[in-house]
Amino acid sequence: MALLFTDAFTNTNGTALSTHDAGWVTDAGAIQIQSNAAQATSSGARARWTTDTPDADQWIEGTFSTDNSDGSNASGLNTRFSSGDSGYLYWTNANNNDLYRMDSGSATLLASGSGARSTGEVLRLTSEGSTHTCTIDGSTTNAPTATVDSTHSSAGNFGMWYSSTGTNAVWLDVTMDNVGGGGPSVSIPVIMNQLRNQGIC
Amino acid sequence: MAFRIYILPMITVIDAMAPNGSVRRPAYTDNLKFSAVDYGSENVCVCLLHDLTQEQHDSIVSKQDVMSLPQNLDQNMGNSAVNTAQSFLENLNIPAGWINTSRTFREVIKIIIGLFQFNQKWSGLTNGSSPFKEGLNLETKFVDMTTNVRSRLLLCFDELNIDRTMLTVQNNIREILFEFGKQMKDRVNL
Repeated sequence: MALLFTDAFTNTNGTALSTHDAGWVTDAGAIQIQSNAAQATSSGARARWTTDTPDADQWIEGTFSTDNSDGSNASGLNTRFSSGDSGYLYWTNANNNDLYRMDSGSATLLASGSGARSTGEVLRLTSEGSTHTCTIDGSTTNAPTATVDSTHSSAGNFGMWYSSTGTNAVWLDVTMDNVGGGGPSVSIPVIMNQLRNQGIC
Repeated sequence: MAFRIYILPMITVIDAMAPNGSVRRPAYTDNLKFSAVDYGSENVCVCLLHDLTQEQHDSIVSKQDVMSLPQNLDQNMGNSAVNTAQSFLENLNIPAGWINTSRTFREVIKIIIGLFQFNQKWSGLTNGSSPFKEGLNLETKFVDMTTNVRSRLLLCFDELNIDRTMLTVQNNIREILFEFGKQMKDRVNL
């Protein structure tokens, strides 16, 4: 299947993600379909979409769902992701949304967002060159500020990452593509533009 | 609405909300909105902090391991600022001999963010190492490096499409990092 790729996770409850579509490779833990959403059934689960080989300039977005008011369950979307848990991770729970760099499983917090997240919001992570930009429903407001990082410059894969067990932080759907690949890209991958849009300068 | 730029330590803390339960992050930024650019695996970063109160700013700059930049980045650096920056940065293995009063704060911080990308790429190629963790220092010349280290250094340039044709075997890490940062700064839209 060629990019642009979308998965709405429509399948029978209990279907393993890799059974739902063999393009999904689960590198840790277990992820399955529940109520037509991708849900972790063990903590620290993560998976990569391997059918397509994206360009290094790429984006992934997903519709987030949570009813976990204390924020203890979280999940995220990855760009330039590897089987060894390296790449970039847009991470969210009910209370926070943050941009991490993952280095063989070690997390470095690159940027923090603000405001509570709610079910139905579409979160997007775009990695273009050395710039990594997050948006919520197409807006940079409340999302982590774009930042530059050159650690992981190879294409890798798209991915999903979960800290939680249960239904409290799931992805209702995900869409992924190359930057400029035809998707409705709204990213503005420069720090200054992000700040200007927020009226900061 | 405003932002301020600081050079801060990177620290590793336990955080149940973070992936895998711990996180490496800029110090002194709890509950603040920020974006950071680290010096690869070295424990220092350039950090943009948003909407700080004067009290929060005063608290951060009271720390001895913090350097702050003025809000007006387009003014030239004065003698005192140059001396402070050179001393602070060199102590962190960040080459700073090129900083002088002809440069603005904006130009300087863009070059620093640029040369930080070199160490980031190095870290990505080595699973978390840095030139300094591998025994190099700012004065180490290319000619004195092992073949593997030379190859890695050149790969840092090549993977980020940075021109390295002006480098010679007599260049040291200090000069190489500055050249990298000088070219990379044009990609930093600050």
